[in-house]
Formats: sequence, structure tokens, C-alpha cells
Amino acid sequence: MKYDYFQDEKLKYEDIEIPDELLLLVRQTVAQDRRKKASVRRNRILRAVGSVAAVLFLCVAIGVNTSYAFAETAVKIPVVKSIAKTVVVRSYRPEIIAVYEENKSSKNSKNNKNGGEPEAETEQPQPEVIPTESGNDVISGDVVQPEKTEEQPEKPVGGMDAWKAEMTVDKLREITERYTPDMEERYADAPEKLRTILLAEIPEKRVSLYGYHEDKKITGVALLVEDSVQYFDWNYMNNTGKLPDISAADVNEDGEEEIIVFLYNGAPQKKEISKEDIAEPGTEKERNGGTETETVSEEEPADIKEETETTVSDQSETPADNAKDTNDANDTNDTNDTEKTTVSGNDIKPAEPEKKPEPVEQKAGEIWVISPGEGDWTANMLSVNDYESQILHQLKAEYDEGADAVQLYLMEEPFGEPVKLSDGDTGKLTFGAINLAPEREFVSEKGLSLYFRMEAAFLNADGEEEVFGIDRGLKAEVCLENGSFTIKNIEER
Amino acid sequence: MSKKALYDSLVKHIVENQNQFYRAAYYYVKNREAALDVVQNAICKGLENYEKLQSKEAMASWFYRIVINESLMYLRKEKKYIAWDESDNDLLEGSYEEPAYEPKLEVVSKISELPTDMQIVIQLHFFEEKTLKEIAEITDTNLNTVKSRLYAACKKLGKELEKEDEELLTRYGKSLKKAERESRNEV
Repeated sequence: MKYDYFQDEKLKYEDIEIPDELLLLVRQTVAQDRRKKASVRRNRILRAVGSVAAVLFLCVAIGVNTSYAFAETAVKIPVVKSIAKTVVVRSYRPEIIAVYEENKSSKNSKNNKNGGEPEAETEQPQPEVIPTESGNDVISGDVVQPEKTEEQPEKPVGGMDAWKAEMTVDKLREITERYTPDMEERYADAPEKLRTILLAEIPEKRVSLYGYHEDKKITGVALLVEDSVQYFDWNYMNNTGKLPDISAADVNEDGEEEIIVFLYNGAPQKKEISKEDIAEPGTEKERNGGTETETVSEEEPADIKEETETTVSDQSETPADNAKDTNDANDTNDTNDTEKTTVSGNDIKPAEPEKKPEPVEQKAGEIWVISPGEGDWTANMLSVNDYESQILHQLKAEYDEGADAVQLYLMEEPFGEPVKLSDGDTGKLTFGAINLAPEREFVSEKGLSLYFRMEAAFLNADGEEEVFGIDRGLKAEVCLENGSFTIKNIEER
Repeated sequence: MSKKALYDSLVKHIVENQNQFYRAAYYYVKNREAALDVVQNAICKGLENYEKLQSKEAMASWFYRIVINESLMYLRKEKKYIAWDESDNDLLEGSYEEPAYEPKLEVVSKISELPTDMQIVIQLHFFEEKTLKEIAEITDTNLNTVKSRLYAACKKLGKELEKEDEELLTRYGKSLKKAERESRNEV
């Protein structure tokens, strides 16, 4: 001990009784302080988070009401998107909400596809689907009617309906590889990659046509024009595998371009001027070999006209045609009434009546003219059979027995070089028909034009058809007036 | 040292030396409950302001100072209360000193009559056996101030004892003189 004084007092000081509760008191006080500090720390964090959230909210609110691009981006960012959607008040609010809904439905589809649990947001209504008169569905980009979507019984779980719900603009844009048959083999192990196939596109106009392709189904397309998409229940391909073509042209001359879709969705077939369409000998002037030939346009036999009209009518009633489209298709017949099928030439070697080819009832394809616009889109269809019938009315074939050649006439003018048989075939073949070959194409340069390859069919002794190509094709312009198609200006190609 | 480590060190120091803090508090307030209150308040203040601690080495002095300050603060409050309500003087006096620590010796009563700063120096020096340097740290004063206070306290205490009793002076005088010398030499 350093000091030895005040020993008694020091001992007394050290003998001060320590209460039992002191230890408890000390520990309680320390624990209380720890709790208090934790609470303070928590409050501080909450205040910081709250401040940051408030600043972010302000930034988002100002941003989305300042810039459309900012708002469009914001509604695609998780967490922020709900705030952005709520606070945007500018004139572009409907567009932003549409983007939000679209993005949300895309996410939902992804969740469903991945088999994961849908997020809470997936319970939100799907984008509004407006059925059109033609039976097609439009996803409206600027109309949001949640109460309407609540009435939808349930979300489709598969098939084309699910595909429609899933394939939003963004999802469709991700598909950039145009479909080729070899993709079937390449993606044999990943059929989901072929669920949506790119059929055709016009990149410069941001127009693309996609097909629903699941379990070999070839029904259902999505037409994407800029940021809008419309779905059609079309058969987009036949067994030849020829893909649809699309083009943009002002078909109805209203100053705005329409989207033209050519579907090769029927069975390949020939349209022909059969020998029945060739006038009887003696009623025409021979053009060759001193034989006078004259046209019989004004004296067209009644049965020929009837047959032509019947053919058009039958075509519009083919089973493959949608009933909804028949009105449009039949409208084209109006122009046919004024047309006269003029057939000339001497049928020197008429074929046996029983060998007459049966008229093909199956359609060859469809041309759809789509007018994209706000909300519902208008779609008009022209059956290939219809326009080809109209074109055939403009043609006539003349067989020159002396030269053993067939000369075509279009609008009474010679058309193309005569189809002449080789020396070996002379006398062995009988002229049968002029065909519009199955390989058709359409080109939209100024308006909508259709090109055809032509061929002459002869019959041999066994009644079998032998075909000779004609070196010139046909070009026809298609006009759309008041929802009806008219074929005009048929000329040589 | 991180803040958390410093905090944990302080808690550890408090828990390990809690008896010492209680005795110090009890020495001043002379009441069990009051001493517990003083210790509790001191702990609260110490833990609240632990960030002001410069280093772990200063921790002991720093917290002891808090305990003493809290004790003095308690006494000041008590005195204020007594002055405000003198009619209850007897009752307050009674509660101020517990029978468990009634000063038996005159010297203790003489110490309690000294000024507070001298009392603190006496208590820390003689009872807690703190060095003058430690006392300076605890009381947050200059070392020379501590020495002069100790010198003055011893001298005053010696005079008081001399007046009262020869025996007491004989008994404590030596110690006081020794402390006087020590403090003078150190100065």
C-alpha cells in the first residue's frame, strides 16, 4: 500500500456493502443503451432511405413529365415503373400506360413460359384485345380498360390464344431470323424457338409478319407495323412452303400506304384457258395460212359466259375461304360483268370432251390489304382465284394449225411470241390450254401489281398434258376502292 | 480502434469496476438508492457519449469523472431541495445519511466539512489510492492544482483535528504531515 494513513477509514470505505441489484442494474442499463442505439441506428437508416426515396420519386416525377423517352424507359424499369405510370400527367400519358401494359404482359408471358410463379403484377389485366369485324384481334396501344379485362374469364394457357397474349411487340422484335425449312432440323431440340417464325419483313418501314408455328400449325400471324401489332387467323403457308410476301403501297390512293400481304396458302394450281374457251372454227377469221380469223367478242356463246361467271362464283365459295371474306371477294366480280371473254383461233384438233380438265376449286392464295391505324385495322382480302378469273377474261388464245403454234391475245392485241411446237412434236400434240402457272408473284412498285408466268399446255395421244412455257408474263394492277378490288391495266410484263 | 470496439471496451470496464463506482458514488451521496441512481445515470451518460473518448487508456479516468460529477450533481440537487423546503430538514437529513455508514470517527466528519474539490482529492488519494496524476485526469484539472488542493486539505484537516482532540491529531497528524510533504515535494 502506497500510503499507510487513514487505514481505518479506507477499510470502512472498502467495506461499503455492494447491493445485489447493482450487477443487474448495470447489465440492464447497458442492455437498454444497446437497444436505444439500435433503434436510433434503425431510425437513421429509415430516414436516409426515406430521403433517398423521396428524392428518387421527385426525380422520376419530374423526369417522366419532362421527357417522353424518359417516361418510356421508366415504365420498363422494375419498381420505378409503377411510380412512373402513376405520376405521368403529360399528354402522352395514354402512350406511356400502353407501354407499361405491354411491358408487363411481356414479363407475365415470360414468367409463364419459364414455369415460374407469376409475380403479383401478373394479376394485373392483360392488354385489351379488341375483336375486329374480320375476326382478327388487335392489341390496342392507347386504350386501357381494366374493368373490361377483368371480365375475361381466364388467361389462355396454351395454343394460339396464349401465343397472342405472349407475343408482344418487344418479343416479336427479338425474332430476326427469317424462317427457312432447314430451321426445322436446326431447332429440332428447341421447338420453342420455332414457335414464332419471321415470315416476311420490310425493315425500312418497320413492318414484319410473324407466324404462329407450334406443332406444325400454320394458322395465325402477327403483323407488326412499327409499334403496333395485330393478329390474324390466317393460314399463312401451303405445302410448298412458300412464305408470304409483304409490301407497302397506296392501293386505295388515299395518300397513306397500306400493307399488302400475299399468302400462298392454297394448293398450287393452274388457271387456264381451256380449249372450250376457244371459239368454234368458222366463226373466226384465220390469221395465218390464208384463213380469215375474226373475234367473237360480241357473239360470245352463252355457255362460255356462264362458265366464266360460275367459276368466279365457285372460287369465292371454296371451303378454304373464310366466310367473312366472301363479301370482299365477291365485290371483285362486279368488274367482271362488263368484261367479255374473247377467244379466237381455230381449234383444228379439238380434244375429246371427256379429256377436259376438271376446274380446280381450291384457292391458290390470298392478297390482304391492311390499313393500319388507330385502334382497329381494316383488312380487305382478294382471292387469287378472283383476280385470276378477271385476268383470264382479258385473254384469248389462237391456235395456228399451219404453224402449229399458239398465239395469245391480250385485249385483242397479240401477246408474246407464238408458242411453237418442235418439229418432232408437230402433229402429235393437241393444244389444250393456256395456263397461268402456279408460280405467281406480286410486286408493289406503284400501287399493287401482280405478275404471272404463263404456259401453254398440249395434250399428247395418251391424253397426258405437256406444258410449254411462254416467254412473257402478265402484269396487272390491283386497285382497292371502297373495300372492293378491281383488276386493271393488264399488260405484258 | 473502431467505435464498436471502444463501446465494448467501455461496457467491459463498467461491468468489471461497477463496485468501485458504486463505492465512490456512495461515498458522496451516502445513500444506497441514490448511489445506485448515480451509477445508473453515470453508465447512461458514459455509453451515450462514448464517442467523445479519445483513447482506451483514458477510459478509466473519464468514466470515474462521470461518476463523481453525477454524484456531485445529485448532491447539488439535494441541497437545492433542502434549501427550498427547510421545513423538512430533519427528514431530508435523515435520508441523506444512512445508518450503515454513519461516520464513527471525527476525522471523517471533518473531511465532509471540507470544500467539495478538497473532499474529492482526499477521497481519491487516500481511499481509492489514486496517484496525483490520475486525480488530475479524473477531476480534469492541472496536476499542480491537485497538489495544492491536497496540501490545503491536509493542512486544514490537521488544524481542525488539532482543535478537536489531541489523540486524533496524534493518530492522523503523521499521515497528514506526510501527505503535505509529498505534495510539496512533488510541486
